[in-house]
Amino acid sequence: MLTDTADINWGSVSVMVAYLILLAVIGWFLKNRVKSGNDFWSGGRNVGPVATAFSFCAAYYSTAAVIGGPAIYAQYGAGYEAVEHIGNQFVSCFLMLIILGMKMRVVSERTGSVSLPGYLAVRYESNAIRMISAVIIAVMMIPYGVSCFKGIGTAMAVVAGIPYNISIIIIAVVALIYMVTSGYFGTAMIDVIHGFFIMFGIIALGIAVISASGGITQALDLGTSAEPLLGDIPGPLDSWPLFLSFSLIWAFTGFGQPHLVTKFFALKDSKTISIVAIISMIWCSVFAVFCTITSIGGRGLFDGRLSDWDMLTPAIAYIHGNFLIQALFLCSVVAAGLSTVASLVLSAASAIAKDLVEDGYMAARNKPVSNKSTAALSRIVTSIVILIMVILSINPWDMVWQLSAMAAGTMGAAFVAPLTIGLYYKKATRAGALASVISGAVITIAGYLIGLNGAVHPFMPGLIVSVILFFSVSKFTSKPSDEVIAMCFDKNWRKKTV
Amino acid sequence: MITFHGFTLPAIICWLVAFPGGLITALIFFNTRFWKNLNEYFSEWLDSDNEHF
Repeated sequence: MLTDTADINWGSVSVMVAYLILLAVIGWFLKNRVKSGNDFWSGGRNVGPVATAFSFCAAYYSTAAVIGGPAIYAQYGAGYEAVEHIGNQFVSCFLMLIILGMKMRVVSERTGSVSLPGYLAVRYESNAIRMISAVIIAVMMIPYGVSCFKGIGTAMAVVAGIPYNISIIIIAVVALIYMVTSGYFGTAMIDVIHGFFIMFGIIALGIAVISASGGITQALDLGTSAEPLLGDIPGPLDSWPLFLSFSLIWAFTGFGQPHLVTKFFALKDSKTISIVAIISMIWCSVFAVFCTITSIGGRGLFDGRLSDWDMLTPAIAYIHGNFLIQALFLCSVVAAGLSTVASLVLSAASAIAKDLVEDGYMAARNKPVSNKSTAALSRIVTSIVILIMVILSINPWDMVWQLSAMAAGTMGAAFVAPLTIGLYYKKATRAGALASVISGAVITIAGYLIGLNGAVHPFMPGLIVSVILFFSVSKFTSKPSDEVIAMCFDKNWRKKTV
Repeated sequence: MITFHGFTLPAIICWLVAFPGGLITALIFFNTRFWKNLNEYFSEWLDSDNEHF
């Protein structure tokens, strides 16, 4: 049986080290692409559709994809995964790109925004909403990143035998090299490699399960024999509100996740959104098929043998995988974790460097910052954010885990209305947006604290209150200026006319 | 109840909607006139005179 640490698996470690060196080298060679803070945060708005698609998918699926995801599906069943996948396919990879992606791309360029708080500040003509959003993002993203670091560190300890703290430091150094040197552009390019390795990893796990079970149908039979409800809906959860709210939550929170939304800011051209959508949907489909085989078959193989289902995929790789499967699994964990960490770090660091310091503190004192200084500031803050995540990963506080569990739901509830609805609702006002952001965050956090997640995901009440307040407060408060209305809603608007 | 290797009909339907349903929907949608109109509409929002940064 697996323990928390194994003997060092030199074969897998060698492949993983080669992978990490490759990432650092690519980042180093792309360093000349960064000449200003805006280049650093949005890749100079010159990132192609293939890199955007892989970057979007790799950020969307964190270490949860190859560790937590199969662990959840092994408990909640294939029906739960199918419904979650419907949400991922139709909502995140299709509707989100059409509703949010296309318009966000053009409006972010018109408003000159490279971060979510920056866009909200221009759209609602409010420095307060910039500051509040930046604080929410910084407070939520850092613990979220810490949980990703923890996932990578744990997997490296279990499968490769590398001590947890050393794993965290290795990953942080690599992240530091490629993110600080090449910013968003380098991160997006590297996400293409991450995207392929996440897919290879889950395919490798699926092959290990099929091989150990004697075939695909035998793997499914094995799982549904161990727990017959795995093949039904709502399945083992036995509650429709829990089943629907938890399986569909990720798809809807995506509309308010800064690290996903800012992918559209950097896209080269709004017309290439269709390519982004098709690549994302193909990627998600392949991932989902092999994830189902891994989780349901894995449940059959390890039923009653694991004290913690998070150990399912490491156990499959460790016990039923050969050297190649173990190496691919390890690289996929690193890829899934690093890609999400990179997106989270860039979102948190941009909230601090760009929104709080450059556009908030410095602008309030009429101190213009040169391109060279903004690039340096971006790099320094990004390094500090990574350092904070490393320290918290090695010496975590209980509050860090609580905040990381709340992060996606809280940011989703806070930002969906002002961001997505505000893109199409002309009458949305500053007061409405502020009420929406604050109420969404507060209600969701309160929901977690009072244990509402035993009945329904706290994101749901948070989102409902946030949307109601967004419309109702906007109805009774002063409308946005004509300039902002024209900039965000008139296709004929041009910058020189203002 | 109808089952296929332990999977009930509702779960199988959900899987067919998700895969390959999502992919087929996307491929059909992106070849429609609606999508072309959407592209043309948003391509008018920006032009080379609109310098940014």
